[in-house]
Amino acid sequence: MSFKINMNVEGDTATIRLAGELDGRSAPELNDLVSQAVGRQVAKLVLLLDELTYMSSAGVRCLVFAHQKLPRGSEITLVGTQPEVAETIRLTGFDRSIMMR
Amino acid sequence: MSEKRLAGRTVAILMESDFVEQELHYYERRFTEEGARVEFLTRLWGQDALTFHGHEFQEPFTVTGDLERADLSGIDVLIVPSGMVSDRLRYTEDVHELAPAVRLLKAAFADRRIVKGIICHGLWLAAPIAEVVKGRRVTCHNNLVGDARNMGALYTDQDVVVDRDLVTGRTAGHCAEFARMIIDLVAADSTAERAYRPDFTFSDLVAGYVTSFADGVIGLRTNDGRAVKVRLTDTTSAQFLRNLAEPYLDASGHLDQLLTPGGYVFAHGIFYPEGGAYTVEAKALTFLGKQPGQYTFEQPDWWVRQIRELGRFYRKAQFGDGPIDYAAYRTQLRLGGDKGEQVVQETDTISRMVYGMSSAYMLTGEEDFLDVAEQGAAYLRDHMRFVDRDEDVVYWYHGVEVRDGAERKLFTSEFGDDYDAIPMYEQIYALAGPTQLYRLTGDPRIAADIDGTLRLFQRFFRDPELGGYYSHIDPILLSPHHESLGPNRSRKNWNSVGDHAPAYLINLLLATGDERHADMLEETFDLIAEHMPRKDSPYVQERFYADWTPDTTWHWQQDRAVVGHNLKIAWNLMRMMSIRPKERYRDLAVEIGEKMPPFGSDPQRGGWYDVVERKLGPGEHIHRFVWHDRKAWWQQEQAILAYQILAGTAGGAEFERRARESAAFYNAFFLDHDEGGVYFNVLADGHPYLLGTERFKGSHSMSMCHAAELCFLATVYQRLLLDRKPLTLHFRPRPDGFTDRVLRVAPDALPPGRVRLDWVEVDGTPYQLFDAAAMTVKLPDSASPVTVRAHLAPVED
Repeated sequence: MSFKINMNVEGDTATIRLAGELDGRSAPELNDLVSQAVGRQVAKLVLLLDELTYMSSAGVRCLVFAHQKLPRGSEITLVGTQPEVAETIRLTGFDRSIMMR
Repeated sequence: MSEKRLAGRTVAILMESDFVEQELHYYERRFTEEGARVEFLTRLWGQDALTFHGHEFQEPFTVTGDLERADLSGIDVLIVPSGMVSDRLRYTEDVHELAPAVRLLKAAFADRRIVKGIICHGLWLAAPIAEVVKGRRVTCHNNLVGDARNMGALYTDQDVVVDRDLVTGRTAGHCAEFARMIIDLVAADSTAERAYRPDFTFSDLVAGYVTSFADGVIGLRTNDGRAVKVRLTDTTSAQFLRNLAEPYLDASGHLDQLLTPGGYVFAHGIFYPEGGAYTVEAKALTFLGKQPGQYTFEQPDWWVRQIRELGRFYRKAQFGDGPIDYAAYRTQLRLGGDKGEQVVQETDTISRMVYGMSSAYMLTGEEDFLDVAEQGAAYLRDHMRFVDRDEDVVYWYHGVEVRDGAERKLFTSEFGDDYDAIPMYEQIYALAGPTQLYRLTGDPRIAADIDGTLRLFQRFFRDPELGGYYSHIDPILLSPHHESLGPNRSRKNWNSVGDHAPAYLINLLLATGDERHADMLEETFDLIAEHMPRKDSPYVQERFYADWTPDTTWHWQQDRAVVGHNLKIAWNLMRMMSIRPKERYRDLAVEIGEKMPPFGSDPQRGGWYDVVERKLGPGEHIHRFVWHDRKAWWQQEQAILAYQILAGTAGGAEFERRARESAAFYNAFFLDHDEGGVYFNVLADGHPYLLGTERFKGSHSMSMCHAAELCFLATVYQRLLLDRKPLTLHFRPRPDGFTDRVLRVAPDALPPGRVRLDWVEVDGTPYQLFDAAAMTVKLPDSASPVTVRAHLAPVED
């Protein structure tokens, strides 16, 4: 299944919708968008993942790096995380830093 | 004054016809009288000599010096005299070219070391190069005042004028004043800049061996053999060296017994400049033992007691007296051990504390240290670890920021050296603590993480073509070549190649006996031996491009040396000699050990310096200190361990003396008797430097790693190699620990056959299943962890 991604920024919230498989090759696309969100210093980064079937470690690295670069106190929220993706995230310890719904 | 003020100097005087006889004769005698060599130069037009005639008496004067061949580097003064000399010398056959004499004068003006003396009509010679006198104060013959002003010079109505390195005179009749000014200027330069001696009082430290003591004056011989007399005063205090947690011990009542020849003493006092020399009056003496030739820090338990106090300090600072809770752990600890404002938990500082606590348990068997280590390793696993399933590797966050229970991962380094990158150095030190703990417990979870991190090193940091490991990778693609790395892109350095061995890899080999680790050690030491020693400096080269050409442009390092890295190489090469010996390892270690003291140590006060320029600048005889002449505690550690192992394996009284002197300075000045722990930095004279971040006790450069490593290995080397005394170590293997169920108890990489395992106890009961020569214990099956005591003893010759 091909990878699709788009971002919408409203106020201090950036919402990124991902669909398909986020592998090592598509990770730079996610990195470009989260870098833009970091550039705008948003307070909330929301990822809509209900259509994401696979997230590579490279994808998690983009999110962790983004969290480090966002202003202190900013939140990352994952919505609709599928179990396999949640397990990938749990293995990186990043689940301690974000909200998963 | 009988002193020859121009001794060794050369005065060159330009000559042509129509010179003023009296003037030239005066210069010749006057400068010669002051010890200078006087040389006459002219344009010889290809002849061996030319004879000129004077202006007034037509006196003949033969000149053999060719100004076209003159070497200005050997000339201190260049004089353009009176008469028509300058006008004749400014003749040029090619009107588009400067005359040779003008070119020489121009070159002399370019060198501020050379004093230019121009008198009377001599200023004409500067006309074609007016820029050399433009804006400068001059005098000249009254006939030339307009010329001087046209050249842009500031004509000054005086007989003699000095403008920095330019002396001008009005007429030949003023040649005496003109010459005297030149002599004063050259002589002042030599006294002011070449022979400045502080003529004020200052305080300083002398470290030395007592050679005599009479009438209140101690004769001392410093580490490098200089004799110093130190006077005692009514207010001189004296103390014995003491360990952490020991009270002040006054020595002033025993001076006559202590100040007998051969004893080593630190004398801090005041230097008074008197009678062309210094009178040194001691205010504080530190004795290293209860009698001359005795060194308290060579007692069998000195370092064991020290590591126990270090462990207690860090335990109390992080967790108080209550339960161990790493949620409360903070990297930033102030001088007294209280926590700072920062809410950061760095992976490497926790790992370093785990290293220190594991080492403390090994030496003391205190359960609490093991608890702190085990919970620290678990915390690292739960909070700092990134398990990458795609690549099947493990890497470690720089740290986490903890605020109101929420955790923000700090993925890339927060340090300026490594910003926005994953530095090899941090990944290496993330393994330091868990690996040392693994030696004790054999915890399979630790083993799995170490293996995962080693796969990271091999797959992403390693250069498969030219060997070695890159210093940084980027956080997204894990590439050492990503452009976001900036000055850290495609680089290798001492840490990324050389720090594996001391930080974790030797300990990992000791724990597992796995030849893969010996292979990796061999590769790194071969690369160190091949690329780091260079002929351009006594210090090793520490930074490289991918192809191993030196990088002398990087950030703070430039072309600079860290003294301790040189010593660390010597120390670890000698450890490697016990793993896979090679002649080149030993030769390089011995070479570094022999050549370092005059470069990196302080011969007057003892101790080892920090960062210096690798090369001497022009006219320098001492490698310059980059920021300061302070002494960092870990440089002392490297020196003590390097010289102990050199003395214990390569042998030699000289290496043993260096080890002892280094340990003396460390123990005398780095232990914080007031607050606990050790100081980060001391001034050259041993006083603690306590400003800014150097007040902290928990940072990545402190945090109980190297200070504990010193206690652990100094115990091993001192007892087993130097004093030939036994040593008991403690282990706590888990029921599932060590896949082969073999506990390896060798305390360090020691020469085969030097140490044997004498006896073993398991849970307090004598145990027989061990291999004395291999220093291994076949572990029993058990339902819970067992306590193993391993008694090691030197093998008699």
